[in-house]
Amino acid sequence: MLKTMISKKHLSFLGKLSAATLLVFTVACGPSLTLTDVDYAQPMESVVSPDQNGNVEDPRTGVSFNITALNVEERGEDASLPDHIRFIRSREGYYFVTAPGYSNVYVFESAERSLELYEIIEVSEAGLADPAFNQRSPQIQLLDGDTEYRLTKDGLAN
Amino acid sequence: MEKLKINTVLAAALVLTLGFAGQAQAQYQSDFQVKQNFDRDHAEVLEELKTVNTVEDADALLEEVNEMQMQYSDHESFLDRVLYPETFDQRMTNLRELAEVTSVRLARIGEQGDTVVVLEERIAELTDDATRYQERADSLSRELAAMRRSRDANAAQARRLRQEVNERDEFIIKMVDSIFVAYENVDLESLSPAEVSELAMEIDAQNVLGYIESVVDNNISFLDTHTELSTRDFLNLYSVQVEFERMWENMGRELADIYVSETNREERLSGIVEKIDQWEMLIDDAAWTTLADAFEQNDIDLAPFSSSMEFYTSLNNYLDDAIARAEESGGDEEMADYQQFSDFWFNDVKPRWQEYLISANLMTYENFNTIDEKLTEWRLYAQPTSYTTLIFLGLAVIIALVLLGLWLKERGTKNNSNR
Repeated sequence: MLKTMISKKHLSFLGKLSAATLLVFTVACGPSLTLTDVDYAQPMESVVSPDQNGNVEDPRTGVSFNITALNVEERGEDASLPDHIRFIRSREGYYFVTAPGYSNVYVFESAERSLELYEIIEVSEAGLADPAFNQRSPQIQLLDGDTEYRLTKDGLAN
Repeated sequence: MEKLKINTVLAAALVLTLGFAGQAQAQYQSDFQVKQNFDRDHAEVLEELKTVNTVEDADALLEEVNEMQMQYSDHESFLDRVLYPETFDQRMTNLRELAEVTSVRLARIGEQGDTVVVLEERIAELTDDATRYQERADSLSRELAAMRRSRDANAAQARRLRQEVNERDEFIIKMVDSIFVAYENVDLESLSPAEVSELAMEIDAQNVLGYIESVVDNNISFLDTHTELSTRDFLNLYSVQVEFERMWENMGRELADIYVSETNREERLSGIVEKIDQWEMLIDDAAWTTLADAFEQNDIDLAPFSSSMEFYTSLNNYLDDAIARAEESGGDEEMADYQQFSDFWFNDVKPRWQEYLISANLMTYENFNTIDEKLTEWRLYAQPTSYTTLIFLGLAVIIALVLLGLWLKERGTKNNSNR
């Protein structure tokens, strides 16, 4: 009788354990769906002026962020903000950012409510005079006067 | 021959170099700059289309649009993306259509003898004056309201205000007249609904019906406030009302057709007509009352009147009675009555009121002539026979008797000699 009872108790416990295990697996896996062939390419660069706090916003694309940290990285503490910055998003979804006077192009990948630095591409030791990005998928074209640079997320392509 | 070859090679090299340079230049163009340039060029053509005023200029703009299309065709795919939801082609088609419509419209205006252009210029010319008069009218309205509250308002002050209101009223009537005359020269049916609407909108800024209504409102307000004016002032106001009503009857309906939407046109028209009637009633009352008072003050006892017909009948009856009376028993008393009436008629009525009585359609020149003739007749019957006349009559009788005596005497002498 006791044996029978233990056996039933064990069976009931095993049943509950199995159900819980199934639930854990189900939750852990979650719904799985991936969309492919995404093209993030922004057809035209954004040219925006920062406000006094360093915030920039492009009303056309709706993207906004703060460039203070980027300016400190490029020019050091207490440096004045540039008159405007230019940025463009590549097909892979990376943001390429620079400004007149900057020596580098900063490549960012997007994260939750932030842009994480992915790469710094040095293009002009003297600083860019009049930079402009063009979307030339899969690359990004950077013009500075008569000089042309081809960029990927990892650096200069040429 | 070799020299020719070298030259050909050099020329080819130059062409290639220029070609590459051009290509390099094209390669190194910022897309952002391309978009900026396109927006700027597009806006410039649009702006020029707004102000273009000759067919030649419109055609030149059409050519400019075609060149622009060619210039930016290399960037069509890029522009399609940045102009979304429009496309480059749509933008250019719109510009081209606009240029073509403008060219056709200008050609039609030219065919119409530039009447639309003249009208627009006239409207623009009148706008400044209209605004100025409106500002003055507002200030006058405030003054009138203040005077209504003040018991010290005197006739001189009222007359001054009246003069200014008159100037404005006259201007508005002339303005509406002028605009309407200009409109009459435009073949409205040949214009598209959009063009008619455009013209109406231009003139609507001046709010033609609003101005018309304000003339009526101001006059009603003035008549409500001021009863101390002279007969001449009231008759003058009467002629303004008659002139205004004539203008309204001539063009009120047509102005409303142009400037008031169909939904509330009848309501707006009847509202204005109602006010004009009220104005007429007020000035009618005031004018006849003051005219009757004036005759009474001069001891001329006319039968009561409250219309132009009654007034004229009353005058005629008075004179007919007087003539009959004088014919029956003329004399000093009758002559005094005549003199009383005659002084008033020739010193007050004719020099001071005749102009307004005629312009207000209350009397005609013929009416005045009739009264003048009756006055002459009255004078003839009324004046007593003078001593001089009696002396002349006596002398005439004596001379006649003397001549008769001489003739009889001569006849007697002849008869005796025949025997």
